[in-house]
Amino acid sequence: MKRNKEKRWMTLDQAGKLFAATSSKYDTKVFRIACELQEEVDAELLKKVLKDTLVLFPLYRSILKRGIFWYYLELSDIEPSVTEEKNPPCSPIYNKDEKKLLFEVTYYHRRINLEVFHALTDGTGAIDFMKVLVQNYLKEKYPHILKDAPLVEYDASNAEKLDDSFDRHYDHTRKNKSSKLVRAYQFHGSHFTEKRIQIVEGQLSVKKVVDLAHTYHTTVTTFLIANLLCAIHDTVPDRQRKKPVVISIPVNLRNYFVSKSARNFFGLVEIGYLFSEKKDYFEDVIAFVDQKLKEELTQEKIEGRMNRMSSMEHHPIARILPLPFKNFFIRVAIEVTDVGSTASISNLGKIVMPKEYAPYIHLFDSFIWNNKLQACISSYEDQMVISFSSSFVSTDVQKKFFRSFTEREIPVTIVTTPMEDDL
Amino acid sequence: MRYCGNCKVNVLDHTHICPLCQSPLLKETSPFSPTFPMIPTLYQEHHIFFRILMMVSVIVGLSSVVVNFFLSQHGMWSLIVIAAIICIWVSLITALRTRHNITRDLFYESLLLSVFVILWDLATGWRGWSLGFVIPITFSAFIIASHILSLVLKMKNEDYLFYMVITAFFGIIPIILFCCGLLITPYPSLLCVLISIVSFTILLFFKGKAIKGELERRLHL
Repeated sequence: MKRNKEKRWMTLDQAGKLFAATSSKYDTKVFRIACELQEEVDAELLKKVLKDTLVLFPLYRSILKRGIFWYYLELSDIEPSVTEEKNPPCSPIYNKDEKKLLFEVTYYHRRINLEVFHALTDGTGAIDFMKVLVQNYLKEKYPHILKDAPLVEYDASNAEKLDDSFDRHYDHTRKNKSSKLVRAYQFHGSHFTEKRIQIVEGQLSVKKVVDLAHTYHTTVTTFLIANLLCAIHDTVPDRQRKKPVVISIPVNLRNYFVSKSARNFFGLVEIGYLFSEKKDYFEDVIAFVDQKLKEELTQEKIEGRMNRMSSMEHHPIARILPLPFKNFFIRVAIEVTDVGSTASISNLGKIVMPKEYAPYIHLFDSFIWNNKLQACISSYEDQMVISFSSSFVSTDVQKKFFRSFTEREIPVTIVTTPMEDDL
Repeated sequence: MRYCGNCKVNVLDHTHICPLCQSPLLKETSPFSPTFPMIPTLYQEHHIFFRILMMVSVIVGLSSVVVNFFLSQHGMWSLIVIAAIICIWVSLITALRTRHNITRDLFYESLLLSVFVILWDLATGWRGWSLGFVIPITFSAFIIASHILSLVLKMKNEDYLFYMVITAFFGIIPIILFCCGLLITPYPSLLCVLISIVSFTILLFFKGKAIKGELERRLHL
């Protein structure tokens, strides 16, 4: 009888457990990192290069399986395929009845798209994979020019890459007390068919945005958060003005703890602004956001928040509950806490690649299907891309947000996904 | 590249109206390829086979209730018809959901069959044929079929071992039923227990390590 080799397996990290429990056809929890090159993508080359890239990222060979008490990841030998983009952005990847990889690579004209189910990893983790994929592709495409170009840096052992950093840094004695639930303003309006998301993407110059933020004596992130708060506020109907506009902001915990994990390792910070009856000046909002970020982004507070989230996972009674019951309670809890935020903004920061590759790369893009109005920001060289993903038909928030740049003489180029409802 | 005079943005979409404010765009300057493909929404209808089956089920079900209502001298036989339709549908949906893994499919169908026959037996005055005959024979068949399939289809450990281990434990149930005197005949149950013991021993000796691995990952807290 043939002996089957022992397959490696891993427990799912804390964030992954939440995503696996709450993902559905109308809220897929899939995000995309895209790279737009300066010319059309060569599909055959991309297929070949993907195989080589996977060797450096064993995590991406995982499939998600259901145990009696928890989900877990199992390494498989399924071969990934590369196809032309033919599904709506961030379509469901995980199917509990089928053994499938948790990521997909597609291409369309000049773009290479990497879509990942959030249970596997977060934006930072996926960007590391994407950078290596793009680097390998370009090296194969232009071997004579890029043969000796430096490699994208990612110095980590396999164990470090597969580390469950939430678990590693869990300290139950340092958790925050749970805070009161705030009812934030919620968007209402008609949705696209099947609650599909529409991507509204704005491409701007990094330098111009940085200069603009400096005229307000603040950072780019604070400026963008304040801008989003004001853009949303302008669309709030009068009778809803008593509710604060709350933006949730994922924070990369690798900046606060020692971790080189390729898996999920992020926390959430919430900034809520209650716009007053009289006019609030933009400067007031900026000052408020600045101050709030300073308060919340301390090592202590971040640790406390992370430990409180993890404590639920380590609770003895929660652990012995069978998975279907766990999923039910998690879904209920998430529905309840969801009313605590209006929208989300995620700044993936500057994506750095060795300058030898710059002539071939135009920009990087990112967005996620998350059942909320979400803005994702990624920067490469001088190209800042701010992508809104939303299943609401109305684009008023996006309009006000981007007009605030063009009104200040900063050019913006808009790209959107064509939606059938528009035609 | 097109331009919106109101938003003052450049638009790289193949559209005539501004995606932000929906006002008409100014003429394009140079041709460009789209960034995102246009993907039509498919009205997700079920396959024609299911639509016909659903229609037939509804017609048969409703008709039998109506006929029974008018001609009720032989009792409430329409309830049997409805129950049968429900059983068929639950089996079909289970088969569909587990079609990617045949052992899991057979396992759940065996469980379903056991539940259904117990209910039928109870509904028809409890003659004990469910516990005495159908269930032990079903599980014996499942065990034998799974072993054969795992060899013939060269199945991976993780696809079938877990279900077989659970089924091996089911072999204890006929013993308990026998002690409680619920078996009208001991022979099919005896066969089931013996097959269960043989199966479990085979698994233990050839797949012991793999079983330990499977249990570890599926039952980890």
